[in-house]
Amino acid sequence: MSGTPAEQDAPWGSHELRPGAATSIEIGPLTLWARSRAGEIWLAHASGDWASTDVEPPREPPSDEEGWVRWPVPEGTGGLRLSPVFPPRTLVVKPELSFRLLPRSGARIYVRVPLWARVEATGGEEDVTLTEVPSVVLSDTWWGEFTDGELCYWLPTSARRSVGPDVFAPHRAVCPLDLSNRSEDELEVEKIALRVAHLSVFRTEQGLWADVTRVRYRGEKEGSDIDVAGRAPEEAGSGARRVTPPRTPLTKSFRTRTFSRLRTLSGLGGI
Amino acid sequence: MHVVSSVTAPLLLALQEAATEGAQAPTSPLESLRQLVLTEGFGPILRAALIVVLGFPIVLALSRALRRWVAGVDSQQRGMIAGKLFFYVGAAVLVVWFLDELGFGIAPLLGAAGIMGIALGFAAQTSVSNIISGFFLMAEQPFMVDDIIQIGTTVGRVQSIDMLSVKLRTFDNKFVRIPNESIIKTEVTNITRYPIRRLDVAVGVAYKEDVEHVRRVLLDVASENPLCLMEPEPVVLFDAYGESALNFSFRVWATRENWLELKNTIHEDIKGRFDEEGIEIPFPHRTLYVGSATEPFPIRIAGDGGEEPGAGGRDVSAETEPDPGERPG
Repeated sequence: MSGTPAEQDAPWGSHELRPGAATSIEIGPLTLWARSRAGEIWLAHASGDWASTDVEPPREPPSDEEGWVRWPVPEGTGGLRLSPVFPPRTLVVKPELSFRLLPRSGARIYVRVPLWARVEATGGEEDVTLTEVPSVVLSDTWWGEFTDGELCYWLPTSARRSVGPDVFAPHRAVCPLDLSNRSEDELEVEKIALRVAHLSVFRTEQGLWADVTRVRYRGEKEGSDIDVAGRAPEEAGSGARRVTPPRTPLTKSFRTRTFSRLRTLSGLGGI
Repeated sequence: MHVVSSVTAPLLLALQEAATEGAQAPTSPLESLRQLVLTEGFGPILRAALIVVLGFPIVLALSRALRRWVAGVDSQQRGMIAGKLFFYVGAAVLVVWFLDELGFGIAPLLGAAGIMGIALGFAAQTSVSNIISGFFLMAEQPFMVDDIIQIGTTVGRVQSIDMLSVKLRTFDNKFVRIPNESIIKTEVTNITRYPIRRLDVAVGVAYKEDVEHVRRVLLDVASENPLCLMEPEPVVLFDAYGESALNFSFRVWATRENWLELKNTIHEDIKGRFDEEGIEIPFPHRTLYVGSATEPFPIRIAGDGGEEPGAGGRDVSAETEPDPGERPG
């Protein structure tokens, strides 16, 4: 575990704004600047880039007005609350090394998902959501066919089989995935569609977790059954508490295509 | 003649009756008007007028409401078709009703319409062809309202698909009307039918560059641009040995909404990365080789003294063979 629980929780939660002065909040590679002036809240941010992790994020707010976005807010508003939320699109998770699931077998993998920060203005008659900003800008990708499909984010992962203290970071949640192959064929896991809209964020002393997504593969034609546990995983311990509910709560399991093989979507798409 | 008399007879009768009643008992002008309106013969005229004054606006308003509703629950295209069908059917009913009120027989009218239809059909072949083509377009649906299409050299957003023509708004804000018949006969490209589009970027690098290095850098550029889809995966094809460069075809995908922005940013990204990596994008150049059988090209170094050609060196033009096609003298 890195840092004390208080340090782990620090970037999220409430922040008071001093009138006129810019407040800087860092959440992993995300830096958020906020200032309150004349009944408005001004925000600027710099997100990390998934492709170049070694780039140092800027520590100074934008000097000109162009980098800022402003919102008129109700009278009395004087603070911000930052909540960790999952990205607003499905993630296509690509294991760096693909693996195969034998028929009638299963495996649990852990995927670290960069979160978004939901920014709410507080202190007025009621809290208002201003915006959501990504901690890391992920690349777009397509899930489906050339004629029909879904716009998703691309997330390369090492698909860990265990969780160590090094996996936690303030801007990331650990998502356990239970994969089981209920078909009679070997399943080559090249890409997985992780539907994060159905996941909650839980906070523990270690860091942030998501509930377990269970994926049962039935076959190429049959697709996969998916359900979400709706509670923190056992590994998170008994002290886990939900800090953000799912964007789209899932009441029962559903069947969809979750695994993709290389042949399914050719890169060329015709010469 | 029969038609004229059937229209005017009730009116004349009503006026006559009113005059007779007026002669029997003197009444006020207002009372006369009231009696005129209430007489049996004036009723059809009043109703016919009401059909025109109220009926058509009501049908128009209802067709617009239907269009909005269908567009809301389904699509703009279906909303437009539903609204138009409602209006045409409603208008036809109103016309028949209007004529019926005035005493026109529907059966003779339909017969006359048949004969007139043949005559009009010959006279308005193009219009009829456009109307029929319009039905085909609506049924086949090669494009919908709001799609971006290319017909010939015209590219624009479809504003409406009407009975006679399709209306486009081009990106430089011109209004273009294309007859349906032309669209049926020609090739139409629907640019926004599918949700993702491929962008082909032609990239040329100097012959000295390492092909594998160039390929790796281009794929890096694709992965670093968030608008570039990772699936379908970007592809670098070694296209050809060009005159001045090794030509690559760099193929990347984007959603149709982001395609133009990707086109704009990816070129900047490539230039930036090539500059960083020291990869040369060559300008067209040509090496002249005259072969071993000929003498080397004479070279003259021009001095500052502004020597006359031929004075300090050999004038090449004077020694070259004249073009066979060139006329001497």
